[in-house]
Amino acid sequence: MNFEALSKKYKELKSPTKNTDGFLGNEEQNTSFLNILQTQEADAKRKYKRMYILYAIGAVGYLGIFIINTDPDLTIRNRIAGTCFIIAFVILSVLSRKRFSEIKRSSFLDSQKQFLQNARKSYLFWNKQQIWLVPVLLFVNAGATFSVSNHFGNLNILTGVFLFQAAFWCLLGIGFYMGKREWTKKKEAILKKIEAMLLEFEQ
Amino acid sequence: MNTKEIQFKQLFEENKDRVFRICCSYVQSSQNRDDLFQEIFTNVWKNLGSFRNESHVNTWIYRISINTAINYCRLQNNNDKRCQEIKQDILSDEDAKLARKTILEKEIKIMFDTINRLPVLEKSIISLVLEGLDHAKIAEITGISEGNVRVKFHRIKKKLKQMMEEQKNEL
Repeated sequence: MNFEALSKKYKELKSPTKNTDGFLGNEEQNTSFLNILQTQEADAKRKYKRMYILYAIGAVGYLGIFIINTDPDLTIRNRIAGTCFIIAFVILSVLSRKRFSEIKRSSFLDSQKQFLQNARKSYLFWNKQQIWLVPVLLFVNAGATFSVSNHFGNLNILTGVFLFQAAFWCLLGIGFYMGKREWTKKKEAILKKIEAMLLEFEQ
Repeated sequence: MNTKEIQFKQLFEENKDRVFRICCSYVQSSQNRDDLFQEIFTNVWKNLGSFRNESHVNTWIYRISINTAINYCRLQNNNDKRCQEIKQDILSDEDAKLARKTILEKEIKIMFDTINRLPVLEKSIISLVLEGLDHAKIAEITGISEGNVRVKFHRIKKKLKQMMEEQKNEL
């Protein structure tokens, strides 16, 4: 087999697509490939901008209602609950922002091996970065407990807290189980494929 | 037309054939090939901001092309079938009718059928060798050492030769 001859023949193969408008329409119809790309890009930017604005409004709003608010009806429990929710919210915002910048810094420019390693990380059921979800959960739990404790009524505080904790962790367990099932159904097979491909690079 | 659009159109003109050949190595049905071709240029557009050094344009384009092809073919469960259509004849593509009369000969068809059956890393290495890239560039794109590229290339060459002969005999 003559590789040079084969390579020469291979390079003779030309794309049937003549120009960028040939993909999806023409510029007159405003549906050219470039136009579609620009619209997608603008949409994505708008979406993330909107998300950040909502986070900021949410954080400031919560701060105002639960912490700074001088309303005497607002109990100390409400204030502690509000603080817990704000902390959880801030951690989530930071995590989302980090995730967004990771997505933005497209891994399509990485080497093939690095690209697959990144893909592997994103398909794992559990990765190190997700450890931050533990404090988020604990703050949400604490916030919810303080918030609900106002409505225990005749229940003993310890019994109330115990019942709430049981319900909270049960619901979380169900969520975890459903998440795991969904991951097994949709992502596990892909993860195995990626790992098999990565193995090629190690051999 | 702004600078980004001009740059994109220029990159498209200069690289559409390269990208098309990479697409042919990964998928063979015309529909999927067109989808992949479009997906690669979508990623070229999205990453245009990171494109600075013109001397490395080939590496840059190949990296995006190969990673997009892997992503298209392998990373999504429902896309698996896309890369298994190796039996579909590349010559039956209506869009390429004009081109194939003179360019796509039997040997090219066999070659693409064969390349399509190779594992992902071997597929990338052989496609890049056929594109005329040196081992150092291939190492940079794939992320393995230059020595490893050399060793793997010799193995793939033997394997490809054997597979192509088997394919020829089958036909």
